[in-house]
Amino acid sequence: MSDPVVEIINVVLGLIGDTLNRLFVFLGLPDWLYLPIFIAAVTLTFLLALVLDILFIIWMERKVIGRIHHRRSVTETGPVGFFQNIADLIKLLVKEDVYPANADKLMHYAAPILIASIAIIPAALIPYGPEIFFLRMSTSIVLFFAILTLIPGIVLLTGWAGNSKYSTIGAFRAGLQLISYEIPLSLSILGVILMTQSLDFYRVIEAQSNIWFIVLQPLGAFIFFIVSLMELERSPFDIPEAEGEILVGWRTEYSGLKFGLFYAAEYFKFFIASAAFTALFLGGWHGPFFDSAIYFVLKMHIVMLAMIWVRVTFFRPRPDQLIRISYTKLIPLAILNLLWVVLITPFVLPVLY
Amino acid sequence: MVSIVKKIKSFILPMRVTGKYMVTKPFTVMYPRERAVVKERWRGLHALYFDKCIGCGLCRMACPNKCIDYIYPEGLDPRDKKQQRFRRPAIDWGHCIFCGLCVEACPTGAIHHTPQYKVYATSDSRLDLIKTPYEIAVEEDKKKTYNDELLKIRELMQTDLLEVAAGGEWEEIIRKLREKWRDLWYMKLDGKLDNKTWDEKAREIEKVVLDIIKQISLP
Amino acid sequence: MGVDEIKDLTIRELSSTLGSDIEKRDMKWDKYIGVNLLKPKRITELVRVLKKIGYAQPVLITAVDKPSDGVIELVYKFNRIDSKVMTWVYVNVDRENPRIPSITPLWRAAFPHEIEAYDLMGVVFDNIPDLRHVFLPWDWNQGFPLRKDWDPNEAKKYPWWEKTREFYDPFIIPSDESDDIYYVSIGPQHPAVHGSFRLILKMKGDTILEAWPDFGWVHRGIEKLAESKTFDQIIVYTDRLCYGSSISWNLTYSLAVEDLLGIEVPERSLWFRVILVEMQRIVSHLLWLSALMADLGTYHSMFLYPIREREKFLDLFEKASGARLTYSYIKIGGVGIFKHAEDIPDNWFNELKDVLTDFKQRVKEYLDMTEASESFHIRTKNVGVIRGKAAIEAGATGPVLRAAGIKYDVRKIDPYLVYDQLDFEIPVGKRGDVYDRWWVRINEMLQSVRIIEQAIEEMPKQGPLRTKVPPIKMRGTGEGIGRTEDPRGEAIIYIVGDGKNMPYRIHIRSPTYINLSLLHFLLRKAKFADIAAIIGSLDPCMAEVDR
Repeated sequence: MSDPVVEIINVVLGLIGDTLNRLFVFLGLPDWLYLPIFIAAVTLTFLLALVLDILFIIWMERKVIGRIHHRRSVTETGPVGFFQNIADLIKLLVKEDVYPANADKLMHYAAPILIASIAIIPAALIPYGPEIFFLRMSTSIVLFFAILTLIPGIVLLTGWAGNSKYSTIGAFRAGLQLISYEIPLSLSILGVILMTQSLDFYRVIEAQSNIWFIVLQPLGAFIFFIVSLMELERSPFDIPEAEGEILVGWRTEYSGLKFGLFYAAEYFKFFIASAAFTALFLGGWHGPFFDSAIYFVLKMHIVMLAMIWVRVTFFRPRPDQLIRISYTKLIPLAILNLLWVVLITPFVLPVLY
Repeated sequence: MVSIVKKIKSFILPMRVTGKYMVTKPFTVMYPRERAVVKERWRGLHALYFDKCIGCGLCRMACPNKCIDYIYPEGLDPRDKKQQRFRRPAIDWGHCIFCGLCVEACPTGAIHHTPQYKVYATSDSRLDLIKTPYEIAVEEDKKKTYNDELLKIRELMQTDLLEVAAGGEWEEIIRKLREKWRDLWYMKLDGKLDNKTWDEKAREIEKVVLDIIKQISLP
Repeated sequence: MGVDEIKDLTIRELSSTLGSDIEKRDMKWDKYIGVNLLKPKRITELVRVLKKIGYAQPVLITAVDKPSDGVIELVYKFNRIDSKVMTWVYVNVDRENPRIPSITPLWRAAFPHEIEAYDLMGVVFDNIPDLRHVFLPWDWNQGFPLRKDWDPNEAKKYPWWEKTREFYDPFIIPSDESDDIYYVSIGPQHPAVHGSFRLILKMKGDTILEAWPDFGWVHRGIEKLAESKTFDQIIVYTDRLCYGSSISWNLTYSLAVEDLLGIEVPERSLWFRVILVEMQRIVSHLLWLSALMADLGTYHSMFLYPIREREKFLDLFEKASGARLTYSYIKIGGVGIFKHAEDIPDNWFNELKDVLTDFKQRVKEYLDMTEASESFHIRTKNVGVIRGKAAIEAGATGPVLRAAGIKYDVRKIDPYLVYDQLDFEIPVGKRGDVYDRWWVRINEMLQSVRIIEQAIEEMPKQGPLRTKVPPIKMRGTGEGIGRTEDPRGEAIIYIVGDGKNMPYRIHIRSPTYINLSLLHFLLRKAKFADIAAIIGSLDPCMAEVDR
């Protein structure tokens, strides 16, 4: 049985191609313009699908947190509160745009746009199905995490552009979190890379056709999960945002659409981090009867559910305790994981692919 | 080895507790749609049994906040001690803290709490919260609604609730107006003033007081 | 040592040191010793003797204004940890120029009381480290409010509106000393759920060097207001002292007035009072638990689960008394309203037993979420440590003192109501950190459940719940004291009556006011992110601090 998602995408591509064709014939545009506009249209469609998924995720998060707290949440707008996000979006759009008097105006406007656009780029690097991908590079894992490393730098820029002591201190705390998670991140992915001897997401997912890596490297999966939480600045590691009493964090001076862009960037990162986890450890698109992108999306949402569940269960460590956890507990565990991988890879190699 | 087990448990046990609540029915009462259940002894808005009240004056003495004062029905003389048993309490729900001391002090159980907690305001005037005994009466034939605010003020001028409600710098002003009104009222009761003149002069004073109350009710 | 031995020892030592400047005073209580000190300057020697004999803390210092005699009378009360004996020292200072040596250098616990006496009554203490106003603004010179001849119109002359900005603005100011050191003010409005108070910190990097707490934002002048209301009407004020534990303040006040007027309470109401107060202890600790958890994590589930348990208890309170937060249910002479045939509703005790059984299961869940989770341990172990001796010197009482290792609970030392017939334990901690304070309070909740279950069995099934006191008898002269174990510490209400039906002077000892002066010590060398945990563990209720 073939992948139903591929069928749907073929239909959509056909539709776009047809409409563009007719448009070109109608308007008499030159032929060389066709390919760029086609690519742009396809990308926009994909982005639209992504944004719809993000809306669903935001709604799901609020509902699930409410349920865990034993209360009802988001009940008024729409049948089960589904249109709350749209209401929030409209509210953010009509707010007044303020910025501090002495701030650098260019940076103040540029920072949210930069973060939102950079956070969405890695979504193109992950293959969602055996025939569904934007880009297939032989080093896609490296590029993926390199782009994610840009974001804390822009966070520092945001805090500086806020031009108040609170936001600068918040930005420094985000930088502190950066130095805590970078090394365990690389070490935990290194286990997967060693086992598959490839830096390509596609090959890694292909290698899990018989057995998933979460079974073979449970410690690596666990460390990657925790490091993802640190990278996303989600609770329990939300030190830059939910600071004690006075510091609201590096996003203090941004309101209206800029705040909306930061919020969207946070959920874009959520999306790609759980996509990376699914691709690396949970077997990507492999499933019971046939390989399909539906399984990828389903597993991604289950990972998100797990991250939300962890959010409301554990307490937040202090900043100095965070560094201590990272360097004294996570890095040794990651090295242990590497040893384990080196030991079992020769026995496991025939089972892969 | 034991500490590793303990460490693993330290991740699993809290998640088990939160996971259990993820699948149980929520505890919330969706208030405007479902009714909020209030127990029957809830110290809500007051109601008055007109016929049980004996006008003893104990509820006024018990109130810690000075929210109760008395109104004599039409034509009775407040200076006559023998007619004191006809006076009935008026309550200011704006200042009331619903402590229950007046209900406790009442010897006959005339004034009591009902479980009702919703205060309806039909206008944005402070006067809506000061209730005359006719508005909180339980017996249907004693109930009265006031379409004209001046009528309500005429009854409330017998009490000191208006000056306590106004407060601040208005308190002195309303008290002096009330003394003038009271002198006119006594003259009318003694027969030195005929009804028409009394009505006109009292109405002047009441209009001023109504203006002041409207001033302080501005949202 | 027995009560009589301690009394003899105290009198002996005091007479031998102070000779003729002391005279014994007749007290109407057998367990308290009263002493008149004729020379105010010798107060430090007297206090040194008391400390040597083994008295634990100056638990209350009251200033009573007596314009007719031209003096201000200061009443010092000292308590002990091992026995119910208290020594009360009465000193008269001249009203025009009240000066007396301060005992703060000997006993740090006297500091909050002395600055309150200065702030509101104007008594100047010599040798005190930092004499300033605490409830009134720092530059107040419009008189002393608690004096009998103070004109309230004076208060209008203070420039309140111009000063607002200075009070409310939070600031971060670099200091002159070095680049790293700066002053931070965490302003009266907090996102943390503790009420309005201001904390001024001197910080170096992430570590706190010194801390000065600043109260007075919720001051309502209850002590002065109560001097113009009758004894019956003051019950409503005591509700609002600490709204998280309002029945225990009702009880403290009722005990004080019953002591002053000599009223006997029926036996059934003693048991019912115990049940209500222990339920209130559970409710107050649940509120504390949820506030502490909210500080330690965002959106944490443990913020909402204790509130859910609390709802069930509040439902029970509502069925009996008619309100959910400010009950006014324990009144002078017993419990509740005695008219209109209102007794405890039917089936109330069965519902209470169901709620308690359910509650014991839930506490197991709370322990699963907190004690079993390592993220809780790293936040609370060895954070905000204060040891037993330092805690007593600084004046702490209640769970804070018990977590530091000292077994002091007014219910066992000086039993009131029927606590001497009940069987329960006092949990005591070891290290005195945030974890121990949490552990002590969780166990106190479980002990309260045990007390309530015993009391339900042993309570008489029939009988009156309240004695009727006619208004003529509601007046008295002399002194009355009510001393109870509030969920936050030792609560005392001291009433002086002069024959009218309104009290002459009421003085309220709120345990949180004294416990918060511990912050000066607890926050030294703590990290910034620990402030929330430390303040939360002291269980502050700002309304009772400021009265």
